[in-house]
Amino acid sequence: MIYSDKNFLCLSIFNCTITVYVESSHLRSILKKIYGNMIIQMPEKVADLEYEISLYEEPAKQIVISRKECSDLNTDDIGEFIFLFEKDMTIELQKLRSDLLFIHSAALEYKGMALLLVAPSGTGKSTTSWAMLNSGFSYLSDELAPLELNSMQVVPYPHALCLKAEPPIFKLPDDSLYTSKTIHVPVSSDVSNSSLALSYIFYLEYDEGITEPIIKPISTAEASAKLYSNSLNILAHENGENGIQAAISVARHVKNYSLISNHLDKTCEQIKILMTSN
Amino acid sequence: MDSILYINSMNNELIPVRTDDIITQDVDGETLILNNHGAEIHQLNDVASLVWKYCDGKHSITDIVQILLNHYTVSHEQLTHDIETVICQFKEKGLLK
Repeated sequence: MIYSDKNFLCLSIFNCTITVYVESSHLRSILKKIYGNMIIQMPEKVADLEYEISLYEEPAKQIVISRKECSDLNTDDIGEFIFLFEKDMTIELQKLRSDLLFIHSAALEYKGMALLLVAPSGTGKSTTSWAMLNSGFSYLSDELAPLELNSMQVVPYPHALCLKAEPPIFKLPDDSLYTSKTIHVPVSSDVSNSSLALSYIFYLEYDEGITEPIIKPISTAEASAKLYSNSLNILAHENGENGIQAAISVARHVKNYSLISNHLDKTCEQIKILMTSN
Repeated sequence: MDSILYINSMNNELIPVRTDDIITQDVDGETLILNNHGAEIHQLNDVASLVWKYCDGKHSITDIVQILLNHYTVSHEQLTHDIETVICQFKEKGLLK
């Protein structure tokens, strides 16, 4: 295949190359909005992943995502299309970069240090990330934090921030993309495009009953258990111990805190104070 | 209620035996246990870690109570209740046979 067509998008994610052939200018503009921070020139070598995305209007609107040696993914909904494409691509990237430990986490930078917000889906990682981006932090990811275990560096995945609802503070930019499922917020400034040393992990919980955020250190054992539970490919790092050693080594390397959050602005300030004082 | 009934009927001469294929990892005095081939992880506090240490197929619940009485300043009755509760939880989590 020759990568010269204007209908191609080429992405570089975790040092892997992904090409997406998409004739629809509408779908192409959506992908540019979401993955704009990771678009590169067309590669001279064969890409690691190749997608083709087709939009059919007749007999009914249908978006089809095709990848070699894989069944097509179909949907008629833009939000679902974004979800399906991202899910398939990130799963394939985890296979291609199985040397990385993929943590279900937001990742941000403050004063040259990377921090993770680890939490299950729906706990507020992206909403907290949005508040932090408006409070002096830089962006690496809101959903997926790949970690190089040898160097303990976080590899950026700065796709558009993905919110499930309008945040309570800090108005979203006009170019945000609203779909039936999610709101996608392009982050163009304050983006960290290179790997950063991981220094802090906050295990995030949301409690609407509190008036002040509660941040307290947790033990290495508790942190290891939480990391193990929130890692997507921990068993790829088993070394005969079911991956627990990888979780323990990460937990030992960083400062671990539980973070019970409610008021976003106060939460951001508390994290900054903590990271500055340490 | 089921748990309380189980505790009341617990025979303290029973010898707890760990389920096969469990991985135990000590981390700074606390214990992490992986079961179901790594699909589940459990974190034990210091007391539960000590109980787990003696759930080795050699010590009865009575033995474990006696051993832990040397570690903690607590009544025999209270410690027996706490250890029975912990062992019930181990059993419910599938960590004991």
